[in-house]
Amino acid sequence: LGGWRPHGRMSKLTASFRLTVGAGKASPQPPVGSALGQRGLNLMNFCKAFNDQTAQYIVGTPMQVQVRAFSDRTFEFDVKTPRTSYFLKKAAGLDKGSATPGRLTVGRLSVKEIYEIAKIKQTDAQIARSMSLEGICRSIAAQCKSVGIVVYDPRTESS
Amino acid sequence: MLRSRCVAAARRTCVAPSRGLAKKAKPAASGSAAPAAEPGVNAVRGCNILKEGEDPTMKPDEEYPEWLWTIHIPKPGYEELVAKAETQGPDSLTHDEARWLLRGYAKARIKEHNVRRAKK
Repeated sequence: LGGWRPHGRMSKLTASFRLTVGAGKASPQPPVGSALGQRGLNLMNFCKAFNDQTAQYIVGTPMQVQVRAFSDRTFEFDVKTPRTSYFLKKAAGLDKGSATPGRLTVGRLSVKEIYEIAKIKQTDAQIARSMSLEGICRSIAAQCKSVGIVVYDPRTESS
Repeated sequence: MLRSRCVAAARRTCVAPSRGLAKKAKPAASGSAAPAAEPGVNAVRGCNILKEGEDPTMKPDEEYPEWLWTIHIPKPGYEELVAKAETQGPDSLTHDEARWLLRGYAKARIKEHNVRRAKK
């Protein structure tokens, strides 16, 4: 993995990968177990640390995790917010997105709901660093297209 | 020819960006309370992922920023900007539109060049 990245260690970065893990539900089973085990990382350490860090979240919420493994078999990980599509589907009351997005619309969301979702995504440090709240909102609104959700202005519909 | 006019328009509109637009003053604490939290009607379902806390409710329109009402409206595409520049003159484009027009022009040029090369 090229380039120097500041992680304050003498050992080198050997792997960087992503996982989706339910909050509070990390266990040594596959797929979590195999992903970590293959790189020679201590599963119990990860599970304990992850479950501790996600203690404040509703159990089972699928959190995105970025894991970095080092040559001395230690690791670091960042817990990030769930995928935006997870929030979109929940807010629109969907189990699955549209099978043919662009052709079949399966839900609608108002811009206010997008805003609230954006505020949750903004708690993710990496997103907050790189995007303004407006940028996040626009990004989410554009992403709705890929899930088959239409975004509307609720003011045009107020009764 | 269009390109030189676009460049000129872009340069003209390229003034120092205004730092920090004045924040829209919130209406002085209105007497009316926020709409009651009715989960399912007013709340954004599934938004809250913390154990403690509830799904956020949607607030009255005035409490949201102005730009929110435009996020779902797609920005004009390259073709539309070209049409706008040609019918209304390049000065009618905002700074961002002029930038996008230049980028669109460059992309179209590269694409056309690649297509021409591939055909040979």
